[in-house]
Amino acid sequence: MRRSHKFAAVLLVPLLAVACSGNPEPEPVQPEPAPQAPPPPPDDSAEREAAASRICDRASAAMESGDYATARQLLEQVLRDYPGTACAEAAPGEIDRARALEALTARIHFEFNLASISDEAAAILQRKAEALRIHTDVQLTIEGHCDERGSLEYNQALGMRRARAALQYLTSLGLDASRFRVVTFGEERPLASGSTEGAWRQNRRSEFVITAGDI
Amino acid sequence: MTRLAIVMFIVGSVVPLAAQEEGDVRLGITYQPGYVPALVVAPVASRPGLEAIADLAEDILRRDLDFSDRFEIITPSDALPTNGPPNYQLWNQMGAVWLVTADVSGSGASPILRVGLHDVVYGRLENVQAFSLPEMSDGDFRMAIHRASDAVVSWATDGQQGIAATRIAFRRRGSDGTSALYVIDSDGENLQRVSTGGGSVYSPAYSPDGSRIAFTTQDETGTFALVEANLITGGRRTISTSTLIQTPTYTADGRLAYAEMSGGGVEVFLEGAGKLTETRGDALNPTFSPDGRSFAFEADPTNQPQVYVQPVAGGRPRRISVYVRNERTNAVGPDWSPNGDRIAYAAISGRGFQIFTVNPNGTDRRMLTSRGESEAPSWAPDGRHLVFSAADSQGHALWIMDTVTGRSRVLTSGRRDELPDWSPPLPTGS
Repeated sequence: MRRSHKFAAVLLVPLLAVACSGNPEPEPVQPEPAPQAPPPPPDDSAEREAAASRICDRASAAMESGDYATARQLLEQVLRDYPGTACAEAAPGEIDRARALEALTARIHFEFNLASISDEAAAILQRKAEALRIHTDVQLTIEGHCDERGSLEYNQALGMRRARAALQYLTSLGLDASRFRVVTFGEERPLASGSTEGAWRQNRRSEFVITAGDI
Repeated sequence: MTRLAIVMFIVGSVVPLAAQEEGDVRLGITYQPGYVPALVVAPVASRPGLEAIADLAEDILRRDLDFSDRFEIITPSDALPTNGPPNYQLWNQMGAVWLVTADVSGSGASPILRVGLHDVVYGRLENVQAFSLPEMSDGDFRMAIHRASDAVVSWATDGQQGIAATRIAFRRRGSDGTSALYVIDSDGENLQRVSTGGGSVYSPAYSPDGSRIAFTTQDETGTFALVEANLITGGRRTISTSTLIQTPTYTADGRLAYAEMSGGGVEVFLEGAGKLTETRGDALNPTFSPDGRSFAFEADPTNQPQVYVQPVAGGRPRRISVYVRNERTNAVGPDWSPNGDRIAYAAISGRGFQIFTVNPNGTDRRMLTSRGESEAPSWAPDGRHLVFSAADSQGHALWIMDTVTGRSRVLTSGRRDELPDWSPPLPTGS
């Protein structure tokens, strides 16, 4: 499953060096653990390894649950705060992986009763296309979803239109249609419950599920 | 006053009086109550040992005739004699126009229900028939009595179709998000689950002989299947699987039609005829006229679904719902009445979906509901009752409405019941 990302690691080293040799700029507040404490002194290496490893465990859990953005942020934190630890050594490759997964699975949203691709959605699909060009064996299922308004049967068809709009955009960027499968779940699988514009906005979406390929 | 009058008063009091739509829509709810004759079901007599059957038969007959909405039901006092010739004068004084008498004979294993209809005004027996019933524990016991009720309706109305011996198929959602296919007798009894397993089911439709139900399923991976369940054998066959196949229905001569993803969008297909529509956008939810020459469907060439009627042999679709530019007036889910004279559908009016009926040529549009949200109407075989799903804050329940009197009743108390389809008169054994 995991791959070494040599190029990314090489690129990140100078950045890392800059970050570490930099002046003692006030630490951005990290949620946990021990948010007030500055990074432990360099001589206490066992403790640093343990602290870094705890964050990496959380990053792995986030990765497992599909929360790639959180995983990436945690790994970036390790890279910044715990350079030299085993966890930080592996971080660049994992960050790259999280970025790819984040791009590949990022949702797009739609306006009410429409299946057209907004500028925002187009930007997300363009990042997705980049990741797909790098990870050539990845295949995606594109799901179309609707809010609860409109009839159940109409929403089945509308969900399909949304999935196909995303497919059409991706193939227009030169990607092979055989890498995608489209499905509609209509209004059956809402992300957010409730009959508010906020919930409806979240539920009008396309989701992207990786069905094949190594990242 | 009569219950009917009370119901009419209540319904009348909630009619929105303000104009809501443009075009030729009738404003508010329009009913034609007309003359409703009073009918009394006399206490059902029985041989000793068959009293329980007689009591149940009496309850079912009385309720069926009430639910037909063709009579004002008079409840006789228990003190009345159950034997001897009918006392027409007494019933006449009570205001009855029709008198139903019945008795149970035979044995517990094979009871016989004899039902008679009397014209009280002329003091004569109109018709009488004996019905063989299965034993009381048999699954078809109630249905056998429902058939007797429909015979009474037919006698009293010059051969009109009753709705007692019918069922309604629908989809019920579980709290886990899966859904299953259920059927329930039209009087709200005898709920049965038809489909098994997880996943989702949609859009059940009875075959014209009542022996089969077509519906679609969706599995975990999102793939749809068009399935037909045989209600007599209990068998089931998958007709096809597809990325998107939906809204099956049968023509009066038993051919299956449905909507399926085809090229750029969803189109309507008919068994033996191929693709019937060529729409910009999606075309779904076909429903056929009884003569099979025309069909109605919903399509959204303007990005707003509307109901259209089109000849099966080809020709331009003609819109029969009201389209208002830049306004949400979605009209969906048409169902062509078995009499051929009306098409029911749901359209957004004000805040939510309401039930409408309209002539197939688009004239005489009427709005039948006005509160909450009501969707997915399906005609009863009498061409005057509709079943539909109505939503309130707690979810969706199924309701039955008589389009002639406006009287309505709750059919299911489930809170997630949707997409009902009313059966034809059911054959014995189904």
